[in-house]
Amino acid sequence: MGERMKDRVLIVDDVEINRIILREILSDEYEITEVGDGIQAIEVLFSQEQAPNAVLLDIMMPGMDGFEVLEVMQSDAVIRKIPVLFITAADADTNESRGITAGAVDYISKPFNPEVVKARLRSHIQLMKYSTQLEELVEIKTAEMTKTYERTLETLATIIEYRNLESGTHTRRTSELVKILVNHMIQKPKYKELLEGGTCNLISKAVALHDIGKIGIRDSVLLKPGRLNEEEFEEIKQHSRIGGDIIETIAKGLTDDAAYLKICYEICRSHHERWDGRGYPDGLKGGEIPLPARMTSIVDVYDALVNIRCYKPQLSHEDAIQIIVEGGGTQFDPDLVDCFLEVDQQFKALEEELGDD
Amino acid sequence: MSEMDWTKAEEVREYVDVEDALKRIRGNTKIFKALLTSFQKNDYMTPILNGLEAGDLDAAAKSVHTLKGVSANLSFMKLNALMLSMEEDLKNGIHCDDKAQELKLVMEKTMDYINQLMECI
Repeated sequence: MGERMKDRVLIVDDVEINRIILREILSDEYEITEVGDGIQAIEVLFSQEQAPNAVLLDIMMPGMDGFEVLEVMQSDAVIRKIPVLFITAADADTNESRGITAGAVDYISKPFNPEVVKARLRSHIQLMKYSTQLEELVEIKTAEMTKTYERTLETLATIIEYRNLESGTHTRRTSELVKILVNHMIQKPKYKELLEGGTCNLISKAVALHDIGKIGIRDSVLLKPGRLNEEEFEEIKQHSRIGGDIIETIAKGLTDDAAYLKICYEICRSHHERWDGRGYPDGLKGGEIPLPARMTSIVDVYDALVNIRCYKPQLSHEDAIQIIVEGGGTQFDPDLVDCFLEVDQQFKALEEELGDD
Repeated sequence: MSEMDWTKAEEVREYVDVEDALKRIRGNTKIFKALLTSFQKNDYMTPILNGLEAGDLDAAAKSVHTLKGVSANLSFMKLNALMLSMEEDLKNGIHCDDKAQELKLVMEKTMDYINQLMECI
């Protein structure tokens, strides 16, 4: 029924007799490549378009021996996954255990027993296939899950927007603004390590959620035109604590993407902290305030200033800058204010493109 | 196959166990012939003797190890048994010069039988 693709086996042995016998044992079931030394084995492994499904590898060979071949194989993320079975002449020697320690999955001994050779090879190839399939499946499922809860959180953020009509696309803009800031900061040695890898991406995604705690604030307070009285202001201030609690609840029981949820939490809870310690809800000071929250704070205030809000008129970019500069060292991390000033024109351009009319 | 019946004689099987060797390769006599030819072509003995003569036990042990594997795979029983005991000696640092002499004799006899075999398979 059709031509099933045969699995491929690479035989590495300097002795022709051993190769011929193995080929005879295996050629029915497998597509065989054979080489007579370690160097050629490496060449085949690294040049063939289709890597073999398994390698039968002699230990004692002139030139590059089996251990050295295995070591080179271990250095490559893909090649190291190919199951290697050592070919040994069983003796009191410790070669077998040394081979297994070095990364081989099994060994076959001379004189070859055809049934044993076939059975061991078959089971290791099968095992490798199962584990590859499983890895792929886990990857797909994890990606799906991540997407699902990211969507869920985004939806939460959108709900806030619908309630708080005036802020319009504030959520989307803060995400974009913080992206500008992160991309600039990552060039600086001081921040490079902190923001490298996926962190940059995570921060811009997480920023969209900074105000989700507002879901717990009454409309009469959240949407009140004009100044809030002290009591109302206290209520508004609860939104950062509530936001942190929401993320904490979501994070409970989730072990994946802990990094993302940690950043979400830091941003939601601490984006109203002040550099001088007079912010809320925890009164954190300076470097105690998580970096993503410090960044969000600047971006959030800037966007609020240059757009109209129910409690204040719209300011020009220049006036907004002025306020942020004045807040350096009191409200904001002075270092981040400097970073912000270095890319302020990009902020301006983005507001012109996406700002509320 | 009748002309190969002589290979079943006890004395012959001590040196070359044809039946045992053929089992390894699904009774394929053509392959068996190729294997014997390869054995004839390659000098597995000289490196051992050279190693022993030079007192280089490591080199000798490596060559013994190779011939041990080959003789096992081809069911050269006497040769294989000799290699096992030489490997043991060399591992224990014993200069087994006496066995070098024995090796020459066993190899000669094995080769004799191989030559005969080549004619009837």
